[in-house]
This record gives sequence, structure tokens and C-alpha cells, in this order.
Amino acid sequence: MKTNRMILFLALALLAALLSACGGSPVATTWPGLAASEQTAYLANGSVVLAIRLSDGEELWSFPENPGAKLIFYSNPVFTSDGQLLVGSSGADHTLFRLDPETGNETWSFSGADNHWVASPLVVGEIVYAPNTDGTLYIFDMSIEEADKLTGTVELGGRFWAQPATDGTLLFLTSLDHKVFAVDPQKKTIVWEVELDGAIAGSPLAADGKLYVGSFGTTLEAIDIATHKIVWTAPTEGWLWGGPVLDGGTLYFGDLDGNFYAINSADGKPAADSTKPDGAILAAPLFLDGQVIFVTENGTVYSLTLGEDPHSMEKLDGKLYTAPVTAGNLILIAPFQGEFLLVALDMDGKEEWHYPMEQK
Amino acid sequence: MSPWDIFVSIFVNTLLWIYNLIGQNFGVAIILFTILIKVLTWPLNASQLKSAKAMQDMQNDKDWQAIQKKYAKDKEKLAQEQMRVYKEKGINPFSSCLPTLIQLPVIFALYQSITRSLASTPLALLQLTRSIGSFLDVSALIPLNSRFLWMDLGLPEGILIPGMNISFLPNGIPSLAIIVALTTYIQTKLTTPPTANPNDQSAAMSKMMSVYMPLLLGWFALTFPSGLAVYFITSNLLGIAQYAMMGRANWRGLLPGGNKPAAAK
Repeated sequence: MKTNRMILFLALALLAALLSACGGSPVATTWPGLAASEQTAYLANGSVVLAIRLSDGEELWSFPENPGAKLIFYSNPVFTSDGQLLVGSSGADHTLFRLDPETGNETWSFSGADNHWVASPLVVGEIVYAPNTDGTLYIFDMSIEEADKLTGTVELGGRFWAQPATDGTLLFLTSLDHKVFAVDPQKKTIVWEVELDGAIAGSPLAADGKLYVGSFGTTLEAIDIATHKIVWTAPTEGWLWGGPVLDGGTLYFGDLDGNFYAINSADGKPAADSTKPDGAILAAPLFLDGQVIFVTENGTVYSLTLGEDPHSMEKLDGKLYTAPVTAGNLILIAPFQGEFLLVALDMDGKEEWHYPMEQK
Repeated sequence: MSPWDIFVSIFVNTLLWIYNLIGQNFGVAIILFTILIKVLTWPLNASQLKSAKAMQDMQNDKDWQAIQKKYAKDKEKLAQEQMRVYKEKGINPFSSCLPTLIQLPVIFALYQSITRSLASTPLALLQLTRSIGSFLDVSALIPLNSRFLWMDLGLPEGILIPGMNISFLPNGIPSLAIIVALTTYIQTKLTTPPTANPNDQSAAMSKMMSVYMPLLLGWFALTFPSGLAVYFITSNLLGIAQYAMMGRANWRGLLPGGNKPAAAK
């Protein structure tokens, strides 16, 4: 009888283990977030946030000291005005942390949100605007000495996955629930909202009195900030995930079907023919020294000069979903499910160093 | 895409098709999808129940008890004799567990389809977009409305009571986990026929199941997205209804000592 009981117990334990393993439970299940200061790269990767020295790719610290399943990090970390690091957890414990960039020690935290932190906060001076997937925009004043730095909230509804943008007056937020919000940060009220045809996973871009937003509705829209009317719509072949970047009146962005576009910000007409390199483009591009750097799901880093074909700078192992980041004379790439967690390239695309998959 | 991914994709598409059909309520979609699965696996469940009953009856059979006594010290011979009796009575000893084994992948796929549909991480959303058929207007469907009654189906459930802060229950009172454990217990008890044989191994196993299963599924409901708990509760209630409709529910099993057969008059 004892044997039977043991067999039954083991069978149920196996069932539990299988269900846990098969189910996409909240353990490191998505691509990493990346940010960099002048000397250090910060990688939000699953159960840890890593600080990696830019000069040689050595690990400086890892947070938390004892990683567990409750804290999951994958949003891009951001810096406060005094250089502290802000990063939120998407695990069962959804705390927003402020870390000392030198040591990785926690200097402040906020645990009052009801859901995950997927969007990176926007820092404007001492004020931090942090949208959560619970549908609330949390506003903190980092100049307040006390632990309670929350100065207000704006209940918007919807799920926020993208970092907000600002034109200096209003705050713009995009939600998976197809909505674009303009919020008055002083009054903490919604000024207007516009509904688009698809979910919006990428950040909006505010420039020249317009807000540029890409969505799963296979369009990039330009919304007049003053009138909140859609000024023009640029159709795309695939869904738009990452937001666009703007340079000299040209908007650059890619889609999930692998097309890369350059369009005029004034009228939404093509500034050059779209190109289709080698895989889905999720990450927002990076503008660098007159060139646009973008990455594809197939692991290729491309550079593009307007009007020319994209140039393959480097092919890496893994899928490139995280937006590339520049720091000093390096381009930082964080592959997902690849040989390395972080790769530093020089401006010609030659590898300077890499940080291995296995954490040191 | 691996064969398993294709299998899960079929579930995801069916679930989302129902979700779209009924006006985008994911909780109701899970309930209807569970009913659909139960209807499709009804013959399997019925045959499992029939076989389990036959095996149970066998424990009280005089021939069976005689060979247990006779070959108690010769395991090999006992096994041979048991197989002979099974053959004579037309019972397949594996037919009671085979339906359960067949249903296991269905449970895994259903669980994955619920978590995949809710797409709570960027990677999950990317995978979802690639597993939905063209017959669905994906851009209009995403994101799924995960609110159902008081729950977010993508998160573990709990009812927060103001002023009540229990450190090991950060989500509040896990009402769904309690209902899951309770309905699992009731279902197990109802399906355990009374037995008079103190050496009845299958009855002892059933007794153990009635303790382990509610705890296991209750723990799943406590820690996994509440959409899974909705599935468990619906499935348990349908299971109870099925046993009752087949006239095999042992209602006395719910009472303390109710699994002993009624005394002969």
C-alpha cells in the first residue's frame, strides 16, 4: 500500500511539474530590456537586472542578490535625473525599484500597483511618469525625501506596454486596448483620447505638433496634438510593434512582416521605397551618425542610409527583439535565445565583446 | 511549428473563435470551451466510469478474493491468475486509466491555450499573433478582455477584504481555489462506489485521490492564472453532472463513513 501511495504521489507531482513547465508560468518568458549610461550597460533579463561594464563586458553587479520566481524584469530600465536606475517587475511581485547604478543596491521602491510593469517610465526632471498594466498612470516626485513619493495617479484603463512620450506640455500614452491618451501632467486629467484600429505596443513619438503612432491595425497614424484629429495614415504590410524614429522630416520604422519604411513626417508619403531584409522587425530603430540602425528577428543588425539598400553589419545568434542602444562608440545588442546575452559592436558592426548567456 | 504547437494552436483558435462569437467575454468562452471538450470526451469518460465500476465490482468477487488469498506469496502466479479472471469476465484492466491518459494532453493544451490567449508578456503576444488563423480578425481581437466577474483571468484570483492583511495570501482570500478544491473533492467522492472489502486496493487509491487531487488542483488554482480555475470548476461540475445523469453518483460517499455499503437487512 505504501508503494501505491508513493506512485500516486509521484504521478501527481509529475503532473504538477509538467503543467508548470508547459504553461508559460511567470518565469523569464520574454526578451530583455536594455539601457546604458556612459560606462555601464543595464540589462533587465528575467529574474535579474545586470550591470555590465562597457569597456570590457565584465559584470559589475546583479540585482536582486537572491533571484527568485516572483520578480521578473524585461522592461527597458531608465535613469532618473540624478542617474539612479528605475526598473519595474512583471512577476507576481510587481514592484517598481530604484537602484544605485554603482552598486545595484535598492534605494527606493513602490509596491502599490495592481499589475505588471511592462512599460518603461518616462522621466521629466524630478518627475517620473510610470504607466502600469493595471490601467493607471502613477506619478512620482523623486525630489520628495520621504519613501512615499507618489504625488498622484490618472486612471486611464487599458494595458500600457510602451513608454510614454511628451511634447513638453502634454503626456502621451498608448495602450494595447487600441487607445492613445493625451494627459495634462499638471492637472492629472485626460485631455483627449483617440481610438485606433489595432493594439499599440510601441511608444508614440511627439514632434512638430503631431503624434506619430504605429499599431496592429497595419497603419502608422499622425495625430494633430492640438485638435486630436488624424492628419494622415500611412498603410503598412504588417503590424507595427516598435515606435518610429524621426530624423530630418523622415520617419523610420519596421513591421512584423519584415518591411522597413522611410516616410515623410509631413504627409505620410514614402520618402524612399520600403525594403524587406530578412525577418520581422519589432524593435524601434536607432538613429546614429546619419544612419539608421535596425535589427531583425533573424539576428541581423542593419544600417541604412536614406535612399540606399540596407547594409548587413553583423549576423548574431538569437532573435533580435530588443531595441539597439548606443553608448560611447558602441552599439549594444541584446539577443534573445542566442549564444550571448549582450553583444557590443563598434560603429562598423565588428564585435568588441560579448556577455555570455550564463550569468557569472 | 512543432506538432504540439499545432495542437495547442487548434485550441487557441477554437477558444478565440468562441470568444469572438459571444461578444468578447473570455470567462464565458472558457466555460463554453470546457463544455465543448467535455462533450467531445463524453464517450471516453463514460467508458472510464464503466471500467472503473467493473474493476471495483471485481474486488468484491469471490473468485477474485480466492486467488488473492491463494497466491498471496507468489506474485507472478497471482498476476497470471488475475489476467485470466479479467479475460474471463471481459474486463480490460487498462481501459479505466486509458481515457485519463488520453485526456492529459487535452488538459495541458487547454492550459497552454488559456495562458497563450491571454498573452501577458510581449513574447506571448508575438506567439499568439502567429498562431491565430486568418478566419479571425486578430487586430480587432487583441488584446483579449481578461476581466470576468471580479477576476482578471490572467492573474491568480483572490478577494481582498479591507483591513485584512494575510502575508501568505497576498492576493486576498482565494475563493476560486477553495471552490476548485471543494468541487474536486465532491467529484472524487461521488465517483467512489461503496466497498465491503477491507483489502480493496482501488478503493484505497480512490481514498488517496480524494485527498491529493483537491489539494493539487487547489494549489494550481491558487498559483496559476484564474482562467485555469474557471476551467477546473466548470470541468468538475460537468463531471458531477455526467455521473449523476448516468445514475452512478454515490451521494452517500459525501457523508462521513458513507463509503461503507449499507448493512444487510
